[in-house]
Amino acid sequence: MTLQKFLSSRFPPGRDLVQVFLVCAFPVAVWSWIIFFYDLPSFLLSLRLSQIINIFAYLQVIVLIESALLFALDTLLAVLLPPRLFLSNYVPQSTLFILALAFWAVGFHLNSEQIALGNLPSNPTLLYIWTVVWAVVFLVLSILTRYWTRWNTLILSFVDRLSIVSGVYLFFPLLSLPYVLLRYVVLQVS
Amino acid sequence: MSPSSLNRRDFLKLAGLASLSVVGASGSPLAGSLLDMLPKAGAQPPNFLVVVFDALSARNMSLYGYPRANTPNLERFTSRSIVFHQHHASGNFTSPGTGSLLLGVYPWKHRSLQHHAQALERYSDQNLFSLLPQEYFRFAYTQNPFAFTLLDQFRKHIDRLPKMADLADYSALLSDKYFQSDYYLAAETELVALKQESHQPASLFLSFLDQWRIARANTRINQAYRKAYPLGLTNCRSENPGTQCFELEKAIDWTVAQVQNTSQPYFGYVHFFPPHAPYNPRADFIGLFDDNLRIPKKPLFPGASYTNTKALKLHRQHYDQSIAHLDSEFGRMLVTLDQAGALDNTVVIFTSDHGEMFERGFLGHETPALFEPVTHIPLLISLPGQQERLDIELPTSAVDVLPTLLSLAGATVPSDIEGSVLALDGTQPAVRNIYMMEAKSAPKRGQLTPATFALLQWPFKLIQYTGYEDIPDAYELFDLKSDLEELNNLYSPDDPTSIALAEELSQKLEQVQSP
Repeated sequence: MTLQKFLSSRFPPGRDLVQVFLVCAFPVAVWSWIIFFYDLPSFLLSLRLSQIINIFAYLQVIVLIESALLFALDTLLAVLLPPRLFLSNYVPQSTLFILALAFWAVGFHLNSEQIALGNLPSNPTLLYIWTVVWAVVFLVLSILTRYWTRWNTLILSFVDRLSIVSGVYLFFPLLSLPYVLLRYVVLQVS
Repeated sequence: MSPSSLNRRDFLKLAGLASLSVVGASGSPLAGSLLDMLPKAGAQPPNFLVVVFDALSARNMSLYGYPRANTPNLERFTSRSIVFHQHHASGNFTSPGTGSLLLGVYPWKHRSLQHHAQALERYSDQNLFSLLPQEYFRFAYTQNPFAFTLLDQFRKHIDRLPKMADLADYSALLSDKYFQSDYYLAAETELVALKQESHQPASLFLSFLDQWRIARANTRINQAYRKAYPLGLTNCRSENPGTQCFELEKAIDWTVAQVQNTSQPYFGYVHFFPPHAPYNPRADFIGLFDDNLRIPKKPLFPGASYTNTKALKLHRQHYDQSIAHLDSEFGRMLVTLDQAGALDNTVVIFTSDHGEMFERGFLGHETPALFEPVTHIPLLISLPGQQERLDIELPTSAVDVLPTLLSLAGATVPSDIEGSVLALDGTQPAVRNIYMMEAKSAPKRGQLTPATFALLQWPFKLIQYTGYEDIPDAYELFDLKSDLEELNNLYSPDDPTSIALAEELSQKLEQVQSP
């Protein structure tokens, strides 16, 4: 089997890829909005509106990059893992994987003082426990998608709805990207 | 030179020197000789080298009477300098302190009040760099991101401004490396997305990679430097997300190279990070000051919680060692430049942006308090060819540096500058009001609250706390002549001095509450 054939046999269909990308964008975008609005009062104290808009645009580009990287990781898993583990049930498996990862990350951030990466060598226990908990939750929910059709259907309908919301969120990064690039070019030239 | 041949530049030089001559005429017997050292109109104007060490408290320097002998080189330097004994920063951290130094106005006017804050837009074109005569070549460098934010704002008036990363062994700030053309907003975004210190970053996943990247680099660099810097390379710490790891020695070498190779006249502003925390002196300074220094016991400040006396003592010791380290490097720089004759026509200014505290439950300087350890900073000015030491005992302020340097350069001092031209002939300045403030939680363009203000009218210092949630609105009054440690609060609503000073401060604040 050539590499091209191998990849095409392992690559999920286009519609599924779009749906999973939107799932990736959802937690990343929502989290960035939450923190942005948390910081907004301090921005208002010290920055002009145009500066705040620029920071927001930069942040949205980071959201886009982050979503793309997460999506790339998920797609890589689909390509590399045996099809029956991931590809055969791509959208539900990916959704669970991405959301589990997002919950793990949110938990990490909310407890970042206790389990900051910088302290890993001296105090890794809490991080390990947290990681194991989410790995187990992910595995259990993943296995359920194979044997419980209703659970699978539930995830798929959830993804359908999530895609609409996520599409709205993605409007801002897609608008911000050309703006930031243009701004960068203009500033470089000037 | 006939009067008719005076061009605009010569006229401005004469005007600047004339103001010094007026002061000198009524001054000490040294006045004439010192003023003679300044270049005459038509001659090459003096170069300026402004050396700022961050968070350097005059209260911790043997030069100003501290019992630990940590500034021998600076003490030698004073034999040819004007020593200002009561020099005060305008704020208690980098942004307001450096802002006032470079703009000649108090923080209530320039409004660089918060972390990473720029000054108001109008100061982009009215600052120490822009106001110097055109003929000056201007170079600047800093290792402090807050100071870099201000230099970035003044960038179009600086001929050479390297990135922080250029002289660092490691710079965690991606915006510094890749977004110089849009540094300010890119750095703000980077801090929000990846490097929040007080709460969660806006990037859910990339922030992990960033933290991991920084922690790994810090570990690698600290390993590589563990013999020379057993406590870690200067400012190399994984818990500081904006970290820059660097050797002071490299930055000093860069400064020496600039002074020796830059076309004259030049204006150089170098703002070094030490002795700012983390206090990581070089190995050869670590054994110093293992003594039983007696520190006066002071009451805890409301809300201040750093009460580990043993740790405070150790931090103070490392801080004092860091001062000895910077003193040694400053001494090395002077010797190199003196030997090359590179300072023959140079005014050297040594100062800081704010001080540091190891008392009252505080470690560092990011406090609502404006006690002397965080506001009393060094100022030494050495004129070209100066051979005598002069001592100025009365208070001066960071806002005085800009008009003084402009005056020496023969430039016009803008009328809205709040500082005064300092007499450089040993004449004691008139007793006047010196202000300090802290308002990092106040808006940039609105009422300055919550805030702390201090009015120094020698020998009295009035401090006002206003608008804080956890600190009661109150005044404190100290007599710095008899109570250097600020232990005895003299404020009383019935005391005439308290009433008069509070009234003066109140009137001043009414004038300046809107920028």
